[in-house]
Amino acid sequence: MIKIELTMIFRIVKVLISAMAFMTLALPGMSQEKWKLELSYNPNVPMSSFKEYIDQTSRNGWGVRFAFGVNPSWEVGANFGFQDYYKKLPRQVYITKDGEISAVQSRSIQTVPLMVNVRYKFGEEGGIRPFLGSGIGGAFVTNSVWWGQFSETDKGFRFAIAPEAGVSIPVGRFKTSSLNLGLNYNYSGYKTENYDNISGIGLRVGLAFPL
Amino acid sequence: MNKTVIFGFVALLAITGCKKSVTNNLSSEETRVYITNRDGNVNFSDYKTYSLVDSVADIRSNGQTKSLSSADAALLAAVRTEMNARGFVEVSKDDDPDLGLNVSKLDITITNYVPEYYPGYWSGYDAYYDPYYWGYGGYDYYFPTFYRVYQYEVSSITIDMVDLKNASANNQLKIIWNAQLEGDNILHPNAAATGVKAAFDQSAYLRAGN
Repeated sequence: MIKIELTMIFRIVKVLISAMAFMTLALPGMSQEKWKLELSYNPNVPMSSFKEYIDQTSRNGWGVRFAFGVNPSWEVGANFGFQDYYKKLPRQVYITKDGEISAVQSRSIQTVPLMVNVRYKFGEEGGIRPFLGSGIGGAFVTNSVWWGQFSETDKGFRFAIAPEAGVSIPVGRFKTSSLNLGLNYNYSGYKTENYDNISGIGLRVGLAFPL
Repeated sequence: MNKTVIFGFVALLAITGCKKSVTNNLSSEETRVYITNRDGNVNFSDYKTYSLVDSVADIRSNGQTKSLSSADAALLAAVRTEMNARGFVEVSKDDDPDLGLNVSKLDITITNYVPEYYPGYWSGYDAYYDPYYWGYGGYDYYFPTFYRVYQYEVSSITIDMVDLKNASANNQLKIIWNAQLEGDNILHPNAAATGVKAAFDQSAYLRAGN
């Protein structure tokens, strides 16, 4: 299982690096400032059937995004992140095939999205710019159900997508950095008998600066 | 640029280490799990009398250890209370009881024995009550294999209900109900008593016949 995941990571990282290398070569005259790094805080509100499983907002979500400005309007890049979902239920009795279990059930899920992304920015450089974009790729999911202090864990890597909309506000002396505020819809195809996918609406508060 | 990429990956490693600890967010009581298993073919109202072992089997890696500390006595008393509350009548083991109740404990603070157990595994240990105790020397215990358990290195209490009424017909000592109490500090008398009550309460089918 771990072997398969590692192989997939290497494959994705290889594709991302190749893509970036290609962009660097294919677009001569590109300056270092075209590269950006964005760090963001991403609280996330679960949606649809996943919400019925964990209805608590994940306040523990973070993202890192590398982006390259192809031209003043288009950015392409890669991003990864982390989201932690948690819910503790009161003690109750669960019926099993051959008996019963009384336990406090804790539900703990971590996702690590790994995506390529594209973003289109409206308006002029240096101004406040609305943007639309999307990330697409996969997400590593660690899904644990705890019965008291005893856990059962499943892991998987599934398709993931995260369209977004937001606004970029320039900050700093030369206005080369920006505060990016946005919302995204995030989806991962990981499912269990309790929910069809892991999806939610995320707030994104990011700070982007040139490399 | 390279430094930044490295920084980015270090940042990822750092943030993925930030998941909320489930166990740190559980009280001692909340760590405990009470598991009960039953033989679905058994009608418990076919049984009336029972006998409870006179001490608790203290499971360790070796040695035939029976224990009757004040905590053990309290544990046995808690089992007795719950059985009586369900209409079962305690008799001496020499008075042909319908049911026998084996009570065992594993204390990892005093034994380095790490159980990789399933129900019945303990029966292979000297401390577990020999079928001879119930007057059936030479018989084997039979534990249904489908019973659910957890395999962790924790202290635990097990209560096994033995079908003595049909022992001769079955040609073995069949376990028809069992309870496993596991979790933080489970051997403390208060925790054990709470667990015993919960295990019986959640087994609504445990009712003696007339």
